[in-house]
Amino acid sequence: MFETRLSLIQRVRNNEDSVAWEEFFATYRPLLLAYVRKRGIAEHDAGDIIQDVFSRLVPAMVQFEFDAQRGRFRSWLWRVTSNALSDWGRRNATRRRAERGWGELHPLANDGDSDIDWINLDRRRIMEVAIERVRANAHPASWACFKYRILDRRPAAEIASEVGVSVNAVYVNASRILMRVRQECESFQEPRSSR
Amino acid sequence: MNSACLSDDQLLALATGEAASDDLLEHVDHCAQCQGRVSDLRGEIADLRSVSGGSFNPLANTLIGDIAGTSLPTGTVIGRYVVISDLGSGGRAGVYRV
Repeated sequence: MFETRLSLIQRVRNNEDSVAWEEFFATYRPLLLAYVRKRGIAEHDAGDIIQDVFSRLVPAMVQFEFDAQRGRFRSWLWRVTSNALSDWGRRNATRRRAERGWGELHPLANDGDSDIDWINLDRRRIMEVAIERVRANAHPASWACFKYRILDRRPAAEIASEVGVSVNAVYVNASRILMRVRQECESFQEPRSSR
Repeated sequence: MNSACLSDDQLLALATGEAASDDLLEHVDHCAQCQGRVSDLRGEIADLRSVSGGSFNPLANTLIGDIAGTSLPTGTVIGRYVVISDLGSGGRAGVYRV
């Protein structure tokens, strides 16, 4: 029923599936961009770095083994991204030192599981994707109840009259949609490493 | 949870600061479980609100290329993939078929 992170990665690994690749890019590119920006990289350079990350990811994904003992996909993606950032920092070290006194761009953490920015952005991206997936498949009136009440904070009575349901139904609908968003988020979370 | 505990929709109303009858409020005042659920819901709602404002790029992003400077020329090889066409219609947006 739900696309999971694992099933998306699996589809990408069977790499003739261009739809899966497009979904993979659409899912992860905003995360990578947000992370690179968070590291203080200017917009133009961020684009170069993201391109570099994807040029590493495409061949690497084909060989990626989903092995819980070796860590999560999230951590692995962090590693690929950090390597691209480090290489970019090294390439630009001379110019950057001259301009701003910056040296190489070192990773903020030793691994993806201890980089709070990365974890938070990943979590936020999952929520964003989950909301969009539920929206795309929800009954419009149910979705309206959730969006107007929960996300937009409009009064339930106003929504009830606009959508043509009771105030109670606004909450019942909103609650059901919230449950589906929660399920989508959970399906996209990775289980903890087994050891 | 006992039979007097609030249903999901009643909890949602309470968590978003609306309507709860005196009976329900009375129950929640004395029910640690309902209080915990309301508190969890509030945290969850705050998270959802914080991402719904669009902290990331629009979800419509397709592949690489809505940032100036990331256009991939036809023929670019990414691993075993080759960019064979730019489906975008000008501007800064580029949609690539690999």
